[in-house]
Amino acid sequence: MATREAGKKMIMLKSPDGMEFEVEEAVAMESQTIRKMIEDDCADTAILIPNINSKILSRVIEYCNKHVPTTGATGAAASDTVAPAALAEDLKIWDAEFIKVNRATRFDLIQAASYLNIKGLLDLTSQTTIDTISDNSLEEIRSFLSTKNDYLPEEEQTIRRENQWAFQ
Amino acid sequence: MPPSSARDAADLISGLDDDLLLHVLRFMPEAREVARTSALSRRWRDISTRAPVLHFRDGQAGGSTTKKTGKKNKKKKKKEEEEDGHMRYNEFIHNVLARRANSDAYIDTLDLYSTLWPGDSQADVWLRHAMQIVFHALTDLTLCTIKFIDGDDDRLGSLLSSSSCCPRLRRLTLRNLSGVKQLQLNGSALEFLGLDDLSVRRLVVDAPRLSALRLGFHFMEYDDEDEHTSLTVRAPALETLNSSMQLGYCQQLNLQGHTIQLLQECSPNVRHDLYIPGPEGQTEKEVEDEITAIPQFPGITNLTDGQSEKDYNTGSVSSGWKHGVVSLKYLREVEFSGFSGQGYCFDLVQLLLLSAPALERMILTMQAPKEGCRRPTIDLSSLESRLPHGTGKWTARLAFNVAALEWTPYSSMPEVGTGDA
Repeated sequence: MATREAGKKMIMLKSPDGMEFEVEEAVAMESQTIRKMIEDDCADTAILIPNINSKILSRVIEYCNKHVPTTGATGAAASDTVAPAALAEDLKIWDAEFIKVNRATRFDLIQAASYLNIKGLLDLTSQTTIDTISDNSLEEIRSFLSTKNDYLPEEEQTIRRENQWAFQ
Repeated sequence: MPPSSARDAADLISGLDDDLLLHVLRFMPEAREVARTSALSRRWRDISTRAPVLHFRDGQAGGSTTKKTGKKNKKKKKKEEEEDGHMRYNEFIHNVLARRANSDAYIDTLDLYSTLWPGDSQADVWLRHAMQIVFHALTDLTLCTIKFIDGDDDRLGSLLSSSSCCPRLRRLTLRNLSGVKQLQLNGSALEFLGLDDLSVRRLVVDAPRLSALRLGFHFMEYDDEDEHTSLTVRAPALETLNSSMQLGYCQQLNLQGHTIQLLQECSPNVRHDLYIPGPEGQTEKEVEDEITAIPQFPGITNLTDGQSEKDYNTGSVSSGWKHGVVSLKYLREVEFSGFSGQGYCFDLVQLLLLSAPALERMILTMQAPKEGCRRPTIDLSSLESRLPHGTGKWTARLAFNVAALEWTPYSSMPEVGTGDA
């Protein structure tokens, strides 16, 4: 395994489209899935991350880099003088910028976060999705989620009647 | 939102499996929104009826008949519509819970804020349904503003108890429930319990793992002449007790007998945070009389006082007041925010210094000057010389980003960096 920058342990992540990403072990271990692989000693050379293309994987790594709790060379804003509250605020602002992506990318990120088991990213992407769809009309939600209405008209009426209050 | 370029849009949601969509649904702020997704498609219908998190707390805003009827006859019909809205909302809760009663999908977080409206609130019907719901996974439950009727007591008690319905319940909040006279809470997994505005006269809490207990001003009825009023709390693992007492009105003090009882019974290892909002519109004399009437709390370890705004966990302690008849032998830290410079504030400081031999630190912060307030700002340096010193000294410092005075005992070495925010 390669080492770099003051002896920090590095891990190689490979996307199915052949890209390789060298990341600090601590950053990679933001993913519980990768953490488990490392702890089980299944991560000698490079870890292949199936189903996550290089574009999405690089975004995920960007997220983990920012959220890794240490104050190493990676976290530009992190420093001993910054109060935890200010740091949390900074992260929140960063997250809000990070998640400004088109919906295809967002769904890819949800899936990646789920597969890699990165709770913070999964919650961020889920929350953002809900924020986008709540208070919209059903048609808007369908279009956002690319969901096809497969009800017969009378079926849909029944559904609406069952929860009348919710559709007012 | 820019359209997705390369991929077929129809793939988006089908790529996510049900468990993932259920996780996304956890973030729906309202059960109403969850229910609406059932009309999206067949798949969503199935998913929405399995949502593990349900927040029913939209009683006012959701009954949107008021929104849609526009401005016509607004005043005339407003009340009627409100009641109608409440009724529909209650029906909605009823329907959702009724459907869940026949499902094997679990709910782990349930918030139920109902709205009292004229007539039968159907609380008993909900309860019956609720007991059929799969609650084995329920960890968080909030019941708020629900009107129960006579005879619901046992049902509610067994719904909330670990042995019957909710074996995994960790956090329970009950607020503003009327009609329940007695309540027995047996929670083997319960870690947090919050109670406020309850009509119960007999309360038994048996919770071996309970670590935090938060009690509001009127967490139960109190009547010292009624022998049927009683409180029993068995919580050996309790770490923090967060309670409130109202000193604002003399006659209310005796209503808080149970809070006092609890404070006295609690193990000294429990961290007590006692909140006593400052008196409003009262003379100093009245406040002193009341404070003198409070009995002793042996185990308070943290006390905050505030007569100003609800800026912090504010509160004042004590008993005996000027006369020093108080035992606070475990009290280590005091935060006295909103120090107003009135006579009783000095007396309180004096009392604390006399009564708390283990005191390590006391911080005074001044009442923030309010707009239009006549009270002059207090000069810290002049205050320092007027404050009782006890066996320690006062030093000016910053606490919570405001100017403050800190008392430390002579014997203790100045600690570096303690508790700075």
